[in-house]
Amino acid sequence: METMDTNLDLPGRWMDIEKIIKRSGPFASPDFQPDTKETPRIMNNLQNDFKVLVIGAGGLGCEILKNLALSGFRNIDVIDMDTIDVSNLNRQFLFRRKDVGKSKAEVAAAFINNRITGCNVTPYKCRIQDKEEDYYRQFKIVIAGLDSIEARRWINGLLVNLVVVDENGDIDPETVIPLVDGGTEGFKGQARVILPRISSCFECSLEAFPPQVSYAICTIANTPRVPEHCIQWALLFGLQDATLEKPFDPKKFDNDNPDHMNWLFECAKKRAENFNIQGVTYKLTQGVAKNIIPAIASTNAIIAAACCNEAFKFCTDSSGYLNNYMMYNGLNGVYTFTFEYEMKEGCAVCGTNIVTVEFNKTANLQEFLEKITTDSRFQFKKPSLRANGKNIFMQGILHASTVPNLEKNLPQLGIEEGDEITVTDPALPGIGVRMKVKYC
Amino acid sequence: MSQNNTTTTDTDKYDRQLRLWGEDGQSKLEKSHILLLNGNATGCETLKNLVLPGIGSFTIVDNKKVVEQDLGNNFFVERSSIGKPRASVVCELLRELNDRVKGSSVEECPVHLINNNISFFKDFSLVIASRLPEPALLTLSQYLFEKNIPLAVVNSYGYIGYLRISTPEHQIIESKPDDPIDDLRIYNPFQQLVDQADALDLKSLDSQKHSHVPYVLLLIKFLKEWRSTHDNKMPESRAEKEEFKKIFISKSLDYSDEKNFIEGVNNLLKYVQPPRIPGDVQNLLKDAKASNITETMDDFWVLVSALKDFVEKNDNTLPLHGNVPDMTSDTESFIKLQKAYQEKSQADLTQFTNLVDQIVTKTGRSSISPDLIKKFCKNSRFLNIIRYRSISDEFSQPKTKMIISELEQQDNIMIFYTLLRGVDKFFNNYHRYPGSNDEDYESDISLLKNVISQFLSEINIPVDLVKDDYINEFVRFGGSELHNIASLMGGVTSQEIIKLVTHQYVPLNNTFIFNGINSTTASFNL
Repeated sequence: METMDTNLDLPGRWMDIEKIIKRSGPFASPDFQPDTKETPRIMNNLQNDFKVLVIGAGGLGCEILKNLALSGFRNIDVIDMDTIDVSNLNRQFLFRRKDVGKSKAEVAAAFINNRITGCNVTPYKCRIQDKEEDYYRQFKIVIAGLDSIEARRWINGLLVNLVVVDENGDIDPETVIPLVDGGTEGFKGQARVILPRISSCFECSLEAFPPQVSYAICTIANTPRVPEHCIQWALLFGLQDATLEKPFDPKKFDNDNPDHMNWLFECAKKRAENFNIQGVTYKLTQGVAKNIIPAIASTNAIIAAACCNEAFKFCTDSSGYLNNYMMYNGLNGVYTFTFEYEMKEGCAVCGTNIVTVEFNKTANLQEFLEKITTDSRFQFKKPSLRANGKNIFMQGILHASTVPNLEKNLPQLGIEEGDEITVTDPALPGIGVRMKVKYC
Repeated sequence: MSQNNTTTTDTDKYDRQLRLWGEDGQSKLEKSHILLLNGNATGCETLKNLVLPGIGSFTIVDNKKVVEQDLGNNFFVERSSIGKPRASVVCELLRELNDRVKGSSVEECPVHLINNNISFFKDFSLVIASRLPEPALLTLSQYLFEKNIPLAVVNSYGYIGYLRISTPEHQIIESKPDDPIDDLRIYNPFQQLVDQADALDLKSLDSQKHSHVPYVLLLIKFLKEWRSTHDNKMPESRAEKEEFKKIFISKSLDYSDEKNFIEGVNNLLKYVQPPRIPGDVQNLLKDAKASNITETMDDFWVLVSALKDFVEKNDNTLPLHGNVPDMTSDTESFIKLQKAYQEKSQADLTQFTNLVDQIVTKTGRSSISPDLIKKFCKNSRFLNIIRYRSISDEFSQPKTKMIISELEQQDNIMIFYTLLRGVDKFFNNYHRYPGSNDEDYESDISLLKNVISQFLSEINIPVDLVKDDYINEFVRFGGSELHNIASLMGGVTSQEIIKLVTHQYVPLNNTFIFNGINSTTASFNL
């Protein structure tokens, strides 16, 4: 088997795909030029010229890699920093029990390369933020199967930033790298196509992903009512409580260590008993502590396939396309809703307009920072602010020099009504959000 | 470890799915034996998503040998498999996904098996059929319908996917709706709730305590006051509810600061309305089977019959579930409130169990397990039943009116149903899919057009409702099975099978079509 030339395809292998790419069709894109025997341009693109990036090698990632490999793509990179856990095995079908603890990206790539002759998946066990901007320029398309909003914002911001726009506002289409984004939760999911600067981007719809609800601290501390409150107490207070004996260093609490989790469970259980609260179980403790989201093979298959179908159509021009968001719910029958998410005027990332922020003239910078970090439109993590050529508030080495500004109000910092504040934030690589201040 | 040691399943591996369908659902899955006819890409992708979560066993019937084309769309073959029986190759590679699942293969033609040995199918929990020719499909579906074995027909065809579910009667105890409204009895409080509300002396409470009285009790208390000045009537009209809201807000010390009052206002419209038995449950209670329990019926109907008795004896109210959502409250009041609901729920369960026992005794049936009675009682608001139309009825008595009205809408997905039916008929006539050979490409367009015209006129559908563009596109597909479409349909089909096997959630009734051209879908009851 090893002696076979893996670059040479067996005749007839891609017969199903060839039906589509060698024949014109009424619903194909206007740019579609069917392959001929003499000039198999599309097949060449798929097999040789186009490189695809897959972000995440988890539930969606495993499916995405398989789907791309069986759509004729051969040059695929996959990035995932995670290692395999036993709870992945009910859906992440490229992993076996013997792989637990190994790199997801590496095991997934090896499995695909072994199973699908000719396919060349290159794994990277790292964070997407670890790669340079230039690294991302080489891809024809990026497919993301992530479970974190933060990573989605980052790659979205980066791809928007890669688009070259000339002084007339015209977009260089060669620099547009589409982002196909999938997500699942239990029986629900969504698939969407983002054409940076052409259609709505992830940031345009950020408000649809509100910041996570957290329990009020005073409820957890004083008036717990449900088992979740007791588990949160164990996490927030029990771990810090020096009077409670622990078989481990509380600073090194590890979600994945069963001994640690067991301690947390016992701690939450005692708390619950004191308050006559029923229902603290080991499973619930795990669920709350690790913020576990249910995940099943079927939903991942559906969403990953919808994403890869769009990637294949984009790379072949052989059909219509998803415009641009499909939400899916499988709880009651099989329900989907496909609609166009519109570009948001004043989107912090892809909008050309400047965002207007209303603010109290007498309130201080500290309050201004609180406002923009909690505003669901921005959800900044660690913002840096500049206005009128001056550092207003900075992270990193300049941080200390700007701390005194926190007490001052904006006019004291030389910011008048209509002035622009530029905000940069690690959540949005290379992007400065321009805010115009309006006093109220 | 503190995990439940009595379970036999792999709780670590299955954790993320057990949080959805629980150990009960998992044990049903692990008892199932699923049959797949044809180990093509769509069939294998469906089985993949069933082997991973851990069905008991599967069998694959397929007489083909692995060919080069399989390597281009099926993940469960290898380069070294070429020439080997497809049934055993895909069986081996699927089995490898989960060491808890048993798999077997039968190297035989599915059509031959249906025509010569139909009793082969009698022992499976569910049958999946892909690319089965129409006559064999009809024979099989009729047989399975009689035997009460669910059938899932799934096909991927170019950019289009198709799924049809058929089973005579599917009973659901846990439909698990997305966002159910809790049964809090605010409109019709039971005695313990009334007592707790009456015992409230808000004036004596300091501001801290005042803002921690559960809103449920606040609503019950002030609704009682309202009734005392309104002829014992509840606020019914919009204006009355608005007025009640104002009164309610006026009772708070500082509305902007009292979360319990804010919660009361937010939940006012939801809970201040007469209790109503959900339509699906009403239909069940009215079902003829519920009033005529015989020795041979399922336990489900005994339970429905007992529920009917319960509702009659309890002023048209279903048993209380007993769940109380978290709300602003001090610990003590919340626990006390929770206890009241739990006690009432327990009392309802006791009464319900007695009613079940009476029926069991009267009809001379064997007793029903307390666990099942409890599950049924607690979920009585979420019961459902689906009676599927058989595939033979769909074919012999098509819902012409409905199909036409769908087809008359622009870009309606129903168009693909007529085309898929046409393609099946084409296959029957010519033993190949339209456009499968380049040589016949042009002539197949007119052949398919003729086949579809004939089919449409037979079922009285105007022929011009199917535009040529779609016929051309279907000939272009040439019977191709694209992996992405196969994988998507495998996902949808496996999900529906999990619902059918676990009797949780509500499965598709009865046809689902995916249009991969623009990623839209539709479901039809055909």
